[in-house]
Amino acid sequence: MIRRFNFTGRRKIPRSRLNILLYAAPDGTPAFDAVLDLGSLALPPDARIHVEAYRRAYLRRFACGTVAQPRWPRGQALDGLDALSFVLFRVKVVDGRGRILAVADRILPRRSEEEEAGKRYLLPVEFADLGNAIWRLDLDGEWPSLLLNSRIDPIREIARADESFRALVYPEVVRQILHHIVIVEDHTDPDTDPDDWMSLWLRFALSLMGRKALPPSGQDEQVVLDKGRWIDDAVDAFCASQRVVERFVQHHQADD
Amino acid sequence: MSSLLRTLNEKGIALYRDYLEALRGGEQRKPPLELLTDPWCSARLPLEIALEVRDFPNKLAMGRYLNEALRLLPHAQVERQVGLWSWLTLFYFDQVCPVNRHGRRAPGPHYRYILDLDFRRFNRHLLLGPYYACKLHGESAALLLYGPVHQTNQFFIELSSRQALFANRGVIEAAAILYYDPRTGRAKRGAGANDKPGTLRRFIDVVQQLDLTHDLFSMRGGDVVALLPGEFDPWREKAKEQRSFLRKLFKKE
Repeated sequence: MIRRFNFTGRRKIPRSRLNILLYAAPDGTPAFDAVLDLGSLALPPDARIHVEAYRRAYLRRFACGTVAQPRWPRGQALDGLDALSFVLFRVKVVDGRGRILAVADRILPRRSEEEEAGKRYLLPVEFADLGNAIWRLDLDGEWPSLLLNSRIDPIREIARADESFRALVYPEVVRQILHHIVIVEDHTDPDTDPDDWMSLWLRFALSLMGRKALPPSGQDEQVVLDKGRWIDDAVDAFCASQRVVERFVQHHQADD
Repeated sequence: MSSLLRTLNEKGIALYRDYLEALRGGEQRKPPLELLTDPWCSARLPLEIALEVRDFPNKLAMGRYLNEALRLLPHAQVERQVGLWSWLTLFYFDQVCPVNRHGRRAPGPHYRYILDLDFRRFNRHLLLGPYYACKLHGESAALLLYGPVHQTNQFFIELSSRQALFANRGVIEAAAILYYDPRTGRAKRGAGANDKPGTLRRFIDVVQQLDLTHDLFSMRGGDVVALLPGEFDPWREKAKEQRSFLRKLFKKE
């Protein structure tokens, strides 16, 4: 169990009260609308509201008035961000001394595209110069991402449609992510923070396996072995759901 | 000598990369400055921006100069232009990769010269880093940018690798108040020591904790310094002494 202290009594803003929509403006720049319902949190009327959009080296901050007189962003451009970039949001309500009274962090915006978009952003794909490597999983940021080598010209298309790539890379990606969550972080409860990326991935794995059995918790040798088996099962379920073997074989037979 | 700013294209970047690799492999060739104007390897920008070849005493001076020179280009359009930043390091190659006392150029990793968009290396570009730090922090960037252009100091490495701190004016100003010595133009002695109370690493740890409870973005450096616990008292005292020394100095003048 992860223990958290909250000495200053700051409140968590429930995500159900936040509505952030991200979309492409007519000129292609990403823009967002935000509306927050802070009504029943009993915050001081003069407390200031700030919305931050962030992702790694990117950070933009927007003053949104006060609790009594909010000025919600509409059509707010996120300059310097590519149209398809992954970005998270943070909302802070702050008193006159700079103390945070209420906060919501790691908010995934809704996308104006089809509902499928939500699934896609479980694993954002980014492009970077990876030297001689084709791909790398990045688990250092606020959200895991699959890095693809920007030196390879058609890499975007390969990652999307090439059956060999899909069969050989994605199961390993799932394995590395679950290993990080379950073994490195010992995060085994998907309800700790339902919107946290680790919880989302755990729920994704459970839904693939079609069962409720959570991975065991702890660092003992036997527990770690059991966790490894749980991850094997999850990766196998992922491969089954994607018909990895069948598609891989078909693809290579077609090549012959 | 002045030249118009251009941007290297893919071919230009590839040839520049080859040159850096050759240097790293022990070959000592002249920098391929012809790429800067070769129309097959570089392209003009929509705006004409003249740049001068000159010696910059430190990264702060370089950062100031680049901010002034690039002021007409929107930052959002400039910051991720790999070709533009690569062109710039080639243009200022004597500054970013000078000949050392053994008469050789010894380049560091590629990302110091060719902008790498990976967030872990993005700010480590030898010209974008100072440009960006100056843009964000003005004179408070002095702590991050002391020392010659081809070297990156410890304060820059530690603070710029944590974006939430690097982008925060109050935090960088607080670090400058505590650790920068305007008399020497460098960090105060011992400020970067490992595992000592009140030094840089502890500053980062404590500020990251405070960031959970306080909106450090809306604070000034002095407010952030005031929030720090007792272990920072010696540094606060030194900062006070420094301020009164500077006040006296300016009064005399």
